[in-house]
Amino acid sequence: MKNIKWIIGILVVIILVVVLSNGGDKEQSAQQTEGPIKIGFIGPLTGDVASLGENALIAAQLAVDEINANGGINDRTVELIAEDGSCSGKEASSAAQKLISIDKVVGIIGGLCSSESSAFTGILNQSETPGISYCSSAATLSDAGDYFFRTYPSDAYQGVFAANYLRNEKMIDKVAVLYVNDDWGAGLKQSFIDTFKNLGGEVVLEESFEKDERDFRTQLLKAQASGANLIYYLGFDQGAVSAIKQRDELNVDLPMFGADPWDDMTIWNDVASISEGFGYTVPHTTDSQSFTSKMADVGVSEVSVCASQSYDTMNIFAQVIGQVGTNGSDIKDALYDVQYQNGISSQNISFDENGDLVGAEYVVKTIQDGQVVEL
Amino acid sequence: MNSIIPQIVANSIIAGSLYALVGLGFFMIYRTVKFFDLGYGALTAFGGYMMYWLLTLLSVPTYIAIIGTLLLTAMLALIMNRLVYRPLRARGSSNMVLLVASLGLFTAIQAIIAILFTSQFKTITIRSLQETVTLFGAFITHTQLLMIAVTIIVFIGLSVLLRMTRFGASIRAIGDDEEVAKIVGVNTKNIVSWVFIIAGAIAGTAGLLVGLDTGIEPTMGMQLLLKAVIAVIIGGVGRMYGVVIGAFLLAFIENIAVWHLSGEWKDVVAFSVLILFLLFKPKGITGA
Repeated sequence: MKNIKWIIGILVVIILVVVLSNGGDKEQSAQQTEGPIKIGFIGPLTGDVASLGENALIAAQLAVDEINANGGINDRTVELIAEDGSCSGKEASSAAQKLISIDKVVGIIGGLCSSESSAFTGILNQSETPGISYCSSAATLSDAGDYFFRTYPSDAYQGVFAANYLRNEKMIDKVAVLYVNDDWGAGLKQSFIDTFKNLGGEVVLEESFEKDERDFRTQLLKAQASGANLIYYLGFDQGAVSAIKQRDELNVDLPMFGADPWDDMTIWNDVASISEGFGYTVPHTTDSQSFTSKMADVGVSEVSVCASQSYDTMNIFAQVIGQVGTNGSDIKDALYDVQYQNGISSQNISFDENGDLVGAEYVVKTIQDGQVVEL
Repeated sequence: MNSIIPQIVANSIIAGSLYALVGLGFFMIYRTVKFFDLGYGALTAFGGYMMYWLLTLLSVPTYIAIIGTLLLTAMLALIMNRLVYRPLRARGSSNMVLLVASLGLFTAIQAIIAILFTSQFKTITIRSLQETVTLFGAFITHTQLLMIAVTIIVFIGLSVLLRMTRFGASIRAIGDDEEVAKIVGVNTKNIVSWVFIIAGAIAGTAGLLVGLDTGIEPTMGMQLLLKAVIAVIIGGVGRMYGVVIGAFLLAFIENIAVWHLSGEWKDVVAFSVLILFLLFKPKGITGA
């Protein structure tokens, strides 16, 4: 009797799977010609980098609302489906699986963290679903296959820019590098260190930490003992706040220099007063008062890094889908040729043969008198 | 080099106090009801957020915010016990079931905190506590001194409570054998409720201190809980002073590892110590 129950159970499961997967296929063909055009969004909505993720999601939704208010794409409305990638590969990969196989999205905006994006580029290529990241900068993502693009510059440039700035303009000889142990941190650290050494600088300390680390006291002391002139800190908002505070508490008198995740006012609202002279690099964006005020209208007082890229990314999808329809392979081909004008993040957006953003410009921002100032 | 050593010792003492404080509350629950209450981790986060809510959003006076935080966290601990743990225990559920239920509570509370307060990092500021003093060549903030002092007070308070009062005797009786305790006339329900109230207040204290020291986020509970569990296990699950020894041992090992190896080895070393203890000294330092 027991065996029969088992067999029936297994049969029921098999039948269900077959029926459901057939139903799914029908739904997909339906999705491509009528109803709203579904676009997926992946970014950290919980955890360490959530403030950037939430900001970027609002920006993407803003673009969707504007597109729909103007009649949608080819008379179809756009629906944005957001999933939490938690800045982790595991979460982002199941988010992408869900968006592609259950929601049948036409394309994915995301991920934010490089560790998110690198986890699902394989799924994008396999399912022929184009994805455009608005924030992932790890240099390794250049080789992520045909279906992955990004409107955010690769760190191959940011590390070089930061090294040049610190070595040639700030005359720093010795640097201590503390970096978060993920795709982004390790990649950026490497491009920075290679350039910095080539320019005759010395890296006296090179240490990583885990993303949820909040106690940097002993590492900060090591940095001080190493004889460095500056701490190059590659980490996200919450860790950065802890590290900056602890540096102040421990009277470690080395300045700190960060990278693009520091372009987040939640950090400086907190610690600007104890960060005099600190700086960070961030991709140059076309200054747009209208974007800032549009974001303010939807309740965002401080626009964070990657929000404008997220907004542009949605509009690029809309432009391309408007031209070639919702077939993944057609969208991919069109993206390689796209010339997107009057973007918020940069004037002209186009992609090279690796799907990377063409042309990357950076600026340095510093903290002066408790205010973030662009140099 | 010499000037560094006092600071490393101070860093270890700061971290050790926090682990010990969280561990003591966790130990109280474990000592009494004999299961790993993971929901306790969420109580620390809840405490941090209640302090943030009262002090920063409602701007009530500091001491009222502190008392309010402790009361609210204790109340949540009591509710968790009443609604979930007590019915499960009354039904004779295994420790595995209780562990899973507590994991469920942990996740649910963490998610509710994120919904109410967003998952953005928040800091709680009390100006006078941010000042730094120099002790034996090490820099230490008032918040951290307070953390160390509170840990000592809680430890002494709990020791007195457990050893010298009737209430403490009842807790030990329940921990040894709940059925027998009931037969000899201990009001077990009542005692267990009080244990949760006390542990909740300790978790709330730890959460608000972490908030004052570094900051709060909904996911902070798990990190604190894991360290507390390691401290309890390497200290010896049966004895309260073991928790404190375990906590400081863990903190010193971690900081020495960060100093000599590198930051990324911190968790590797911490959990390796845990595994070594489980393998070779499962009863911990204080165990027979």
